[in-house]
Amino acid sequence: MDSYAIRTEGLTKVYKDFWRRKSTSALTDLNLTIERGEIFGLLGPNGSGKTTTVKLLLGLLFPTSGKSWVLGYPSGNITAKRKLGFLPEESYLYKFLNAEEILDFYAKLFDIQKKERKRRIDALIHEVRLDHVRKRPLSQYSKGMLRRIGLAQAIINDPELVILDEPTSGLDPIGSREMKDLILEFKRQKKTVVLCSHLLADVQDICDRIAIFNKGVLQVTGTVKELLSQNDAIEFVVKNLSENDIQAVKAFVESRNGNVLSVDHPSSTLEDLFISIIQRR
Amino acid sequence: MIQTIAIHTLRESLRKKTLHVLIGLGILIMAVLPVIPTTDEPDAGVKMILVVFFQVVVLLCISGVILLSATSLPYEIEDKTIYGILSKPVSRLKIIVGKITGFALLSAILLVILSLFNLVSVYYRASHLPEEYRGILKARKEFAASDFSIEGKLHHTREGIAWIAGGRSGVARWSFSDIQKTHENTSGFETDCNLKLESGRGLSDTIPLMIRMENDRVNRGKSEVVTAKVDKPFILKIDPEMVLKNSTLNITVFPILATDYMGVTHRDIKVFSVQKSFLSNYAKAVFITFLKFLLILIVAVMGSTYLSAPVSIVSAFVVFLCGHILEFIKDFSLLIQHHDMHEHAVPAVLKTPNILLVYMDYLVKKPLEWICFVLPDFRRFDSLKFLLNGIDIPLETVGVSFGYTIVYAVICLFISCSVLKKKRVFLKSWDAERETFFLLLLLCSILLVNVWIASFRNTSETSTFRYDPTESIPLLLLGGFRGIAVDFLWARAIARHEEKKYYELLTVNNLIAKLQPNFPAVWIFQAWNMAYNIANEWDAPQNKWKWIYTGLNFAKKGAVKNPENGDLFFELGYMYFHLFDQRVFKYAPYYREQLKKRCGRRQLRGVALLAKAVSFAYPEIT
Repeated sequence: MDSYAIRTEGLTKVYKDFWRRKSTSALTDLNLTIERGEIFGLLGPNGSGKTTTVKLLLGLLFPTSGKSWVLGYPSGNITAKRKLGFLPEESYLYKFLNAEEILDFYAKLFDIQKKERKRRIDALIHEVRLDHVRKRPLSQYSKGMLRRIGLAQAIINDPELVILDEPTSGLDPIGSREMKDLILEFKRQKKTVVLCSHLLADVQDICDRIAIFNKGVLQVTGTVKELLSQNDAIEFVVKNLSENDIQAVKAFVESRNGNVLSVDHPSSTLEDLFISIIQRR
Repeated sequence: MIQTIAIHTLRESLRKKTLHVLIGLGILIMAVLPVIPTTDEPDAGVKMILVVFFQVVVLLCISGVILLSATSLPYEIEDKTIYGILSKPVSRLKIIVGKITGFALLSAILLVILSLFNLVSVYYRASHLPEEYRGILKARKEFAASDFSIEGKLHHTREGIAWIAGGRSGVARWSFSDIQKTHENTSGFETDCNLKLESGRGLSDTIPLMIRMENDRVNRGKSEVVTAKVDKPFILKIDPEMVLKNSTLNITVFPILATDYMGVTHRDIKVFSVQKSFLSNYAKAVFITFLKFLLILIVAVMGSTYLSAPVSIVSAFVVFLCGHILEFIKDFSLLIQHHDMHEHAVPAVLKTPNILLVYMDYLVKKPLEWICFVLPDFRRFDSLKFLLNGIDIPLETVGVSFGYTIVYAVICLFISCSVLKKKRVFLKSWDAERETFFLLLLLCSILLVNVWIASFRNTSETSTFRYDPTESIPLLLLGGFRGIAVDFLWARAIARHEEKKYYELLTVNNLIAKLQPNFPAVWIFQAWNMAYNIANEWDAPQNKWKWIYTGLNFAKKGAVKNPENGDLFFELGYMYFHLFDQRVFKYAPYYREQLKKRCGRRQLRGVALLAKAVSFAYPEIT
């Protein structure tokens, strides 16, 4: 069994125009490996090739050149798709169905037995907090609700690998935090998660490793810590220190040839503040 | 998996308003039909209900199914819901088969609901019919003749039809050796006679025939005199005593009068056992119609794997239409070749060698012939003719239609899968560009052809005020399609002429004249064609005269409709002058005699004046 969840070799996608001339290079010579059990982030600005990579991995697109494997199988393989969950960038769902019907439809595509299907549908609807609207057609759902039901359909088969394209887009901060918690829960369950986002804060919070794309070319890969750490700078976080003591510490550092860059009160993120206020009420 | 996608497709279609409107419209039509009065024969009402269901309602539903099936995949690709399915463990083949199964289920549901309504209407209307007209609610099984012979003198044979003269000089005999009760419900036997009859007594349309039926085992027979109408088939009941196991039923026919002629072939007399199984026959007809639905929706889904929604709707409709007019396409391909017609009838435009026509042979004729091989032949699924004639649909017909659909389905599936397999899931701009390019090319070529055709139109000035109200209604209904209808009919007329099917040609000519009443060339061309070319095909002066008279009448009708056009009067005068000239036509005295019988003195004087005027104005033609 392949130890990699995802592996690509020289994966390239070129779109051609009417006269079969090369018009856009969506992805160029991508060599990437993603280990099983890790949360991997694909980062980059719009049009950098993240979604093209995901579509190539799922077999939704065919590469111009190069190869890719998902869970040890070539991309698009039916067996691999049985162990895979995908949340697209936007929730492309059948709007005439309700939450129960859409989950039932996707569960049937995985040949899940009726009893088990029912159990999973109930559990997932509860998990994504849509119990109160489970009979309502999706056409009447808000964007956030559609995102949640989209996530539920992505994990209906209890997948080994979950590919999430912009998972927090359209979600309110609480939904966004819940999504992040869920992704961390996946990690605890030893699932592999590929996260595609241009919201850096999301990725920084939860990803083990990230890859940054620009103009269809992979620029850099590594762990978040590796990529963000500044080895020549030190940060202390201290509590209950008087102004005099602060000046003394500053003088001590300078006496040892240290260069004090900033002395400030640490602040939490706006997201943390928002969540603490909402939860208090 | 296929089942899941099929049910999903069905559920999606059932929630669409298009379908609700269609079902409602279909039921409304079915509900109104039984109370619409008909002025024709008593069973015309029942026939009308069947025709409207199998042609109008079925066409409505097929249009609905085409709209749904041709747009399903393109819309899923466009709004990207297809990602949801493609990222699951489902192969593309299963998606296509699932879609087709879903639409097939939808078609079946539609057909079952509407045909139930239709059946109720049929039975309601039929319940008011007198007993002898309820034959339409029966299904008859056909027995072909096991032997056919002509006893006595054969007058002549033409195009496989044996002609015998009347007065016992020749007798046609059909033998049926395997007639027996094949079904529990068999209630009796009857025979359909479809003989070609011609009267030597002017244009009489009734011909007395002597018909004798006898069984070789019981050694007795029954004779009767039937007054048959020219070109109208008739039905005779068979005495049940004449039908016995392991015996032969012989039917002999001859015209009683020596001046009459009868043309016969092996298949002109058929014997039918009458069964009371209309329901099973109706079910077979509905099944064959279902196969028609299946075939077109497979074609629509196949097209939608590559084309965008509007283009795939149009292409499915084009295939459906062309599949019904394959005969016309063949006729059209026949048109693009040199004609060896008689000098008189060839208009100047056809006489000049046209390089375009030569190229058309390679550019249009051959591709058209190939298209006929590729397109599905929807005429194969015509089950209405069986129901209207009360004939039991043979199981072989059902089997062949089923096999045809399956073979076509497999080929279409193969093409769809290979296309969808290679196709990028979403349409990028260059796909749309390519489609636009082809559409523009198509539109340009249609425009060019129309401009080319329009250059011939300087003679076709129409003046609406002279339109007969009964004729102008179909013209108004046809609207811009009149040109297409006329092209279709011209191609058909020339094809029928080449095939020597003159009676069919006459009908087509009348239709053309109705559609283009103020285009003198139509009247002149067709009048000449009948009076000279067709008349020339016959040997007997009676038959020649029949066509000459029809041609003259046709030209007269044209002249009345176009009183300001001198050409028509000239042609009419010329025909009167030329056709009755003994120096040119040896039967001219006979024609004159016949003309005298048919026209009054005043009319004859007018004719003579016209002919004289022509010879006076153009002395060189004498």
